[in-house]
Amino acid sequence: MWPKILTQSLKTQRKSFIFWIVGLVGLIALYMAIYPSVQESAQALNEYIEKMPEAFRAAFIGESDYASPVGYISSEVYTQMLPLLFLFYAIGVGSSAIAGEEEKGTLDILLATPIRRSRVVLEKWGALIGGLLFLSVVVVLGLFIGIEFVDITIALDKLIAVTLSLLLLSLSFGTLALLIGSFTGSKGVAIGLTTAVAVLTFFINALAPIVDFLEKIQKVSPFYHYTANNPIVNGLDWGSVLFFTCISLVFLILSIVAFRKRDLMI
Amino acid sequence: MEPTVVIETKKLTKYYGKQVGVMDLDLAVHEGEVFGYLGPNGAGKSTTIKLLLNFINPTSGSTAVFGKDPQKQSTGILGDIGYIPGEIHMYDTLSGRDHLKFQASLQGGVDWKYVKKLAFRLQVDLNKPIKSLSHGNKQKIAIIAAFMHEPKLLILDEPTTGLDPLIQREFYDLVSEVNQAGSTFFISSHVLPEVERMCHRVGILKEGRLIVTEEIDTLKKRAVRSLEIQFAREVKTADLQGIKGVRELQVEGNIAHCRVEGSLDQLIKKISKYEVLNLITQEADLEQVFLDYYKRDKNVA
Repeated sequence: MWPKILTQSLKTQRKSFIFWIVGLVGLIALYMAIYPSVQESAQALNEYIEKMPEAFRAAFIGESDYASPVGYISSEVYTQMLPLLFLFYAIGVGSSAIAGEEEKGTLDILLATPIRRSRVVLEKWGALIGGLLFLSVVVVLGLFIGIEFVDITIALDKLIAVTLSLLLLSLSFGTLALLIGSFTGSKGVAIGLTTAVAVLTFFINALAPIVDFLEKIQKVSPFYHYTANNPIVNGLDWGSVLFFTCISLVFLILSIVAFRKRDLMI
Repeated sequence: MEPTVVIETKKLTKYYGKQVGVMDLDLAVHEGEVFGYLGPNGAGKSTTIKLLLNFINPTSGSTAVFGKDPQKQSTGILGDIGYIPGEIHMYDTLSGRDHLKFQASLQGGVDWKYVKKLAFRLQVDLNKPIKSLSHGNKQKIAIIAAFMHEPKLLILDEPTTGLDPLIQREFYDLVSEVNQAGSTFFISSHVLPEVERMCHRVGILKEGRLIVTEEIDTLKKRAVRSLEIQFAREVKTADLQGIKGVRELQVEGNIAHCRVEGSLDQLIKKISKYEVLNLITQEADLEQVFLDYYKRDKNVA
């Protein structure tokens, strides 16, 4: 059967997708435009970062290497700008999927029909994947064309690998937002809690190199798995792909369980 | 042969925390019936409807729609139901047409000619985006959505909210036609003349409990109407006292005012001894019946 709720959910985002394209392409262009000047002072930047307190560097800069072109793309684009934007999108869509519709009062349009609640959740999740895929394609194409202008060479398959890792990271948090929304029916709670988990797990991963007890639990952080194996250079780490797939599926199944029997506020 | 029961609840109870939604509800709506579900706001009308549609779970008791339990077989039931929510919320950015097309696809397809016919009858422009529509026009889209897949059972929560009188009349005709064609209706309302006009039978709900279920005709028989009798000559109060069903008798000169419950027969026979110039009566008002039930209930309690 044709997934109408999935396609409908994507269709209603048509206008916002246009803004996403403009925004992503614009940012990529900006990063490409400033690359030559960054490269000129790469030495100085690297030294500057070296001198920062270790804790500060770990928490807010991460592993950066401004001297190499790939390092620039990896640290500036993929560890700073894109995760923020993709998580913003995924948490927004995930929390709106059930809780947003419930709060707006439109959920009865979907449920006063012969469609199962579990299918509504599945199609909404499918729409989340669809949206993230769309953004990923925009990023890969944008960067692939963008780096041509500044003489950076990154193989297409490596660009795809790192973007796929980004997609999986965002999908995990988006599905967590879907789960909290399905369970509570509150979009605000879904956004708030998911963001809190994201911030917490980000710092667990970032501070792990300098804090002993965090190092032991570093691998529970999705951000660890996001950069594991350094996919822009070495391709995907399949263990991490499995990690993301598993937690996303667990969140999805729990979403269905939570939503299937709950009293709805519509 | 016993008529088929379309909706049946037994001891259906729903608590929201400690607050009662509905309590020990025993309902039976038969095939081909237009059942009016009456009560003030907050009496539990919408709660009942949400239980029937499996939006919420009962605390106790049982429900059957088309003989199936909504909690276990909701998808088997919902395809045969048309629903108008008490509060209409839609995907604002869609046009009426796109919204209905989407809803039709969820129902598994509809005859689009019928949708056009309904839109024409209710006078609503399907090209406009929902967000630009007035409350009444949104209501019309919701009505079309409930009727378009020609369901066997229509559950309508305050369906005429926001409609102007002309469209309201068109809606009553529509209900009557679709009912003639065999569909069953469960209509909640707090507007009595509308229930009187559409329904065969009503249930009156108060604070979550069904206090009475009655044929509209029976209710009408018990309905109290106000009467003004103009006599040719002066009459005495004593002459008109003790007539069955007559209350609140007031006589001033040659004019008598009173209220009569049920049949006027006894009163007419009595006053026929006198010369009557005029008899003014008002159509029996269910509002009064409704209030009487409430009063009676209160006296008992």
